Amino acid sequence: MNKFGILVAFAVCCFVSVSADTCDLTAKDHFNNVEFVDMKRKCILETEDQIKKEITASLKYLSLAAYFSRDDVNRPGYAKFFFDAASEEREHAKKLIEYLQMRGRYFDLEDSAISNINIGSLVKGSEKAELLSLGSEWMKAPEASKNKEVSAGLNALRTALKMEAVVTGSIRNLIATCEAEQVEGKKNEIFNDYHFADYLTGDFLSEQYQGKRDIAGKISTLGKMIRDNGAELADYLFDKSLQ
Amino acid sequence: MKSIIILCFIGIATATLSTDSDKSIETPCPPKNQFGEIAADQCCGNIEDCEIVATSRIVDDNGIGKYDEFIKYTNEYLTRSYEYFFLAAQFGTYAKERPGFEKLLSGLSDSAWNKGIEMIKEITKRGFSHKFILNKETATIMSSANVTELVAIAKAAEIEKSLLVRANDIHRHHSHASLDASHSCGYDAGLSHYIAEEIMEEKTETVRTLTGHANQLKRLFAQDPKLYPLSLFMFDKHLQ
Repeated sequence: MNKFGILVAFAVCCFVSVSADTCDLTAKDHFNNVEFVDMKRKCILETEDQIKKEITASLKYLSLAAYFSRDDVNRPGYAKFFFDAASEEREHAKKLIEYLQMRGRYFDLEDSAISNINIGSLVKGSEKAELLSLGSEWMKAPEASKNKEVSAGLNALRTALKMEAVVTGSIRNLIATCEAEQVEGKKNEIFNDYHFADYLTGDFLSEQYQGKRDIAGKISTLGKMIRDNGAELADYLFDKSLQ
Repeated sequence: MKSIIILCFIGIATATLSTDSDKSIETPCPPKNQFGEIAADQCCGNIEDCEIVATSRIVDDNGIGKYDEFIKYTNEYLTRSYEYFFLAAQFGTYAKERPGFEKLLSGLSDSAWNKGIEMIKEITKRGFSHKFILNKETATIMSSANVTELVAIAKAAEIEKSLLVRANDIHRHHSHASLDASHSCGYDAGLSHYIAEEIMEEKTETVRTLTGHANQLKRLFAQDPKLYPLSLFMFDKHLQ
């Protein structure tokens, strides 16, 4: 660390120690115990877990995009498609964060999954995307198959569809948790988070199903093109349609 | 007569000099696969003879990863992007309620993400693949828990400055112009230009802005700690 860094670190340390009394770190105290946050614990934790999955998916898409950007692969259309998909997954993570903020989630809690994410290891494992439990065959770069029946593009689109199916399943499980969570300390009381279930169903699931349909259509078209024309030409032409 | 002799000498000296420099200008680390001089009909008769391997590389890294530092640097942007992402999230909660800080940090997150993508494209333009390799420090970056406004700004300033310093180092590595081939293996004028123009120029502005914010907040606190909550409120308003 250079001199400036040391100075800033020192200033920050001093500041934190001095300001502990004066700074308003516990803004929740102002509420005089008025409880307005009704989102339940298990639902929140699973949502935070979903945020991690969306991030993992964004990085996996990035690894596919990087593969198709190579000069010896040369598929700018696929690269664009997967770069866009990566940013879209990141937006999903952002939307879930914004929803939690709106419902009063405060990220300082020790049990908050998103306060302790090892982002470095997520980036390092972009290609494998272990958090999505895709299985080993989906954890590598989408090389073309030797028997010329499967192009790299087809392989990547299949991976994308598999990934979207996993994410969709995960959102469905999240809805199931949030619409029937047992209230802590009250044995017979079940809390149904109507609004969140509706939001997930309307916004997220709609997008998931539309996305899956889009990829499935692409796989179908490309598959037919390969059967008639051979993998390389089919991939080359299909790539042009994605640009 | 004298002047003619002197002119001759100058002529000979210049000729010798230019011959010397021509000799010493070598292409550093020539790429393995040159495809310019392959006969046009080589790939026509038998596909087995077709040995054309086209590559965009202008220098070979000789298998020692001359571009690895740039690739690691790219991955640091992706990692930092998500670090900022979670840092920003904290300031959008009801208890913190600092939309200005959230906007600032969220902007840093977006620009790190977009720049990371741009750099992946940049490395592949040069004939190298992007790999998800990280240096030790980046590999351990975690999303952070509860932090104050000043700590968040100071942290952002430190991150941005470390990225600027690193860009400077990588620029030096790729712009080590030397006529001695063995010393200029990583020389890549195009990449150096990209680093200087597309990364460092913007990053210098960001570092200046953030350090300015950190110093301002520090002075606001130092001058009147009791007024600090109000100062923070006003500061946040101006960030929005």
